[in-house]
Amino acid sequence: MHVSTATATENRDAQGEDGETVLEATALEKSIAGTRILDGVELSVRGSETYGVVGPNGAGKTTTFRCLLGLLPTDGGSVSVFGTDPRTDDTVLERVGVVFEYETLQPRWSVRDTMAHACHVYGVPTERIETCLAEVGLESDAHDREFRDLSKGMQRKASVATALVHEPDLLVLDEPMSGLDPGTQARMRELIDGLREAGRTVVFSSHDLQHVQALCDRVAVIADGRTVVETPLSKPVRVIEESRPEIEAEPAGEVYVVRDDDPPAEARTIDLEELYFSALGVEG
Amino acid sequence: MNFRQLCLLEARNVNYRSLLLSAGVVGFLFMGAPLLELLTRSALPLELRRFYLFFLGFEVTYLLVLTLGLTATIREKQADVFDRVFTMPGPTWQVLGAKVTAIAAISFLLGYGTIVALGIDAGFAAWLVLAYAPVIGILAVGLAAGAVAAVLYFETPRLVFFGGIVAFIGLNALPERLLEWGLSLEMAVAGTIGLAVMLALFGLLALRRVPPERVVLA
Repeated sequence: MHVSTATATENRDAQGEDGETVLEATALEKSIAGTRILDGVELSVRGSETYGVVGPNGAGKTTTFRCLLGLLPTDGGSVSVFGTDPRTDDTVLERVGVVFEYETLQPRWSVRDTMAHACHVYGVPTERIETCLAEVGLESDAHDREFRDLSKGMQRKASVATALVHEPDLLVLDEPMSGLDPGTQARMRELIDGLREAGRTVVFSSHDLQHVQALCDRVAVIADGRTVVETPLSKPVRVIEESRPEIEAEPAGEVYVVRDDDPPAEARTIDLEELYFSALGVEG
Repeated sequence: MNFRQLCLLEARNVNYRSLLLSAGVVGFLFMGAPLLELLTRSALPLELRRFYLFFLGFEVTYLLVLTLGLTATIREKQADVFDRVFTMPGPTWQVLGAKVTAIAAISFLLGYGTIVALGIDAGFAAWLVLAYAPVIGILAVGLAAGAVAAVLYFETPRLVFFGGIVAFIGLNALPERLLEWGLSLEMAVAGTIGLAVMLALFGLLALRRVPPERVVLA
């Protein structure tokens, strides 16, 4: 799986400055059939970063993504994608690629036909099809087969390839590793890593903390419809003793903090597993 | 990819086996039912046969749109295809336009084909048969849009299908009732055209107003 990095600068230009907020959810609230699903989700994804959303089953990750993409109206809070609410101006979706946890491509169309349809919708040349198929590493014998006849791994690759066809500035992946064999998971990791190298902004949810740890610049832990923690996965931490570096924890807000009067900080990778279980208040 | 290729692609989603269902329903309803019997009765005045023929084309188109459109769209809804459609930029009805056109085109060809086939046998003037084309076309497009919208809107689209079949039974009895009520043939034809236009407007409006949350949460 290979993603060209030659266009990284161009991609960054298209997305604006690195670090600019491209996707934001503020105090997001949503009830479905009388049940509160989201009750204060806060996310802030910056340009060119890979952002992970983790949380237990039923935490509200998929509902959050659906609200962010304009598929569901919110009951409270606000959504912004490149500064726009997609429910009021869906042209912003031209800059977004989406892969759902479940497969959503036409079962009776070939992969190539589905991608040609996407090229038509997004107004991009069909030459993009071969590029994207090569990017995701979909086996060539699968290109002209109907989607329903493909294996789960091939289907996921086809879905990602279709989401990439219009070279989106932001790629939203809901559980991209779910149900895949280890080999395909590894290829998906490579792809996401390649997209990051190419300067694209990627947001994905996952139950696999190792994947998130390996791929993400920042992460949000969601539980019971609320963002419990949002933090970089590598950030400066205060060294209390030279021989025994420790991380200071703060009960509210971000878990790891650096104060102005602290001694010089050093970059430290945060153990996501530890953070996850401590944020959820359960034993790991 | 041009619009014609898109329509051909969408035509692949149609469940052609559902044509058998249409044939079965038509066969069951017309067995001993008045419409076909009246149509083939040579003693009937030509104007009356024209009206029955027109209505038969109307009914066949309705039934085909119902079976082809609903079964294809239900299948796609079950495959979560529309979740992705709603994340595409631009009005959804434009993205769904090729689907509606494909269903409408197949239904139109078969529905209007019925008029043409029986009309040629009945020795109708070609201009009259041609005159029915736009009405059947409008009906096919509008109903196809309505069928797609109904499947997207309702949580249990099979109920829509059931309702559509019940409505077809009522529709089948309509031409005789119209005439029994003392409507002139001209008025009955105008009423049928009006019904087609009304259904078409309703269908196209419905397709423009499908809220994505109805589809995503179904």
